[in-house]
Amino acid sequence: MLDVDLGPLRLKNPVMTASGTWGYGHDVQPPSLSARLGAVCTKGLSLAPRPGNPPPRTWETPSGMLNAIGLANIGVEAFLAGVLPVLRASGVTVITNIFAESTDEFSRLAARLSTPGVAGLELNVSCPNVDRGGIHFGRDPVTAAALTRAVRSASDLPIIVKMTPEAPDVTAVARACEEAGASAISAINTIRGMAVDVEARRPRLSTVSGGLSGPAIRPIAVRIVHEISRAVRIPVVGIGGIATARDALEFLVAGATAVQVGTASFIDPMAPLHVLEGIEEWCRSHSTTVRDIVGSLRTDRGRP
Amino acid sequence: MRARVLEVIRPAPGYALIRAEPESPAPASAGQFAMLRAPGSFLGRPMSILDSGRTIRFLVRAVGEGSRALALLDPGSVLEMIAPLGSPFPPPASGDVLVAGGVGAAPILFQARTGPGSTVIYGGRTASDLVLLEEMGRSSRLVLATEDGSAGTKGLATDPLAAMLDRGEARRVLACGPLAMMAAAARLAREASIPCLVCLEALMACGFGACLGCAVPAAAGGFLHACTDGPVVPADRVDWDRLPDTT
Repeated sequence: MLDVDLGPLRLKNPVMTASGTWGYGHDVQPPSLSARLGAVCTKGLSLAPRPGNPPPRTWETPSGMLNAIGLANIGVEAFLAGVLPVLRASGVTVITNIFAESTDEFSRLAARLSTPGVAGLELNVSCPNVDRGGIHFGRDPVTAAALTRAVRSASDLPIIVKMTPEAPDVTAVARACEEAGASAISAINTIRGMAVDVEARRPRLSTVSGGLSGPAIRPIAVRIVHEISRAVRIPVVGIGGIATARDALEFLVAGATAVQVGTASFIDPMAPLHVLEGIEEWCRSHSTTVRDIVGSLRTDRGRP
Repeated sequence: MRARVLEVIRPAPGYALIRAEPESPAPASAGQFAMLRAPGSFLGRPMSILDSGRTIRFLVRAVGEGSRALALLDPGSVLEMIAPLGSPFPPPASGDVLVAGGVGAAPILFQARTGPGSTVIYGGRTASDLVLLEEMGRSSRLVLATEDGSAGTKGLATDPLAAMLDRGEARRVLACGPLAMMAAAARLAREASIPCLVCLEALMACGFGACLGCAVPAAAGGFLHACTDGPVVPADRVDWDRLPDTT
């Protein structure tokens, strides 16, 4: 009733955690909870550990928040040595989100993570909070495709490429990644935003601007997911302000095959599980399956 | 979980002492905190726990939208709460000197009650900032300091601390208050070669290690996270020079 396929990767249900909102899958919640989800998408990993940006790093905005964490992470070696064995032993489906500043680094990272216990890779080509890499890879179809191709030749794992909503033509980027061998597309990463302390005349974040997430961006995300799902044949993972099962179903109907719950986990650490339970309940009460919901949007467009 | 507000006392403009009853008990120790979310706020706000039993108590100062929404709550309203979070102060020991500034008085009062007979230095800009004065006086030997001299000695809370350290009257310092106060307490304790623990405050989205927002520069390089490494940490683990001044 709940299982879905992300290319070669079968998930027992369509609910995943969004990168950077659930730690590495073993620390924020006990791994037994992580194991109930379709997959855990880890905090973005880089080859070397990264300390992240100076504070302040977060700021609440209407129906959302700005963040400028700066991809703080323990590095791939610490993940492989200390985290992955715990996740494997607990039966967690692990998708590692990876970030690098060059194509070569991305390839090395992908190869290093191509090890039992890692079910897939999500390429972060869309982080707005770092000077190099990140969003610069994801704005241009040619650059994004070249990176996808390089990672494809470095790893046999399913590759999900995470889109930035700030690409001039995000469907063109998604199509280019599909042609280059991506197994799925996830969308969207945060949208750059900014807030100002008027009294102090200072930005609220140390980096001046940061990434906006939460329900504030959900309609933008639903629209982009819908457009991408019409433009590619590979599955799309919907991300952006999902806090309830109803929110997740909106993405599924619009064309997403799976979803990631992100910022909502900061407010309620059980949010992804509540979303999962709600989808299950909805499928039962409507005598349907997730596969039947995906892309079931009815529109009058194109009719005479 | 949900918590129902039972009582709100507003001891001075901008301050609210909130007593709430959680759905299920959330036994806490001094120094631990809760994420409190008022209706209408998107994220919770970290608040030190003042005491906990069947009910739980907080001192809120309205500094921004989220804390203002909390400070304006009335009895009967319901807030969302995640508690207890973070690491507490160590058990009280003889020779402890507790230093409190502003809303930092909440965890200090909790700690003072845990080990009666301790010395508390309580500081603020002016007498009306010392909103927990009466309760603090019942649980400790109290020394006051205000910047305008309206209560206690005129000056900073760290002035009496320096004098006590000079006289060898402190074996350990526990501090919670504005950044500059904790940095000064940490420096004085280090110069006197006695241990100092501080209860950190930081902007954060979650309170439990997921968002990594509450970064505090670490002496060893990189960052501590106020929520999971603290909020109570040995003062020498903090790189006080790299902490941005947000006051």
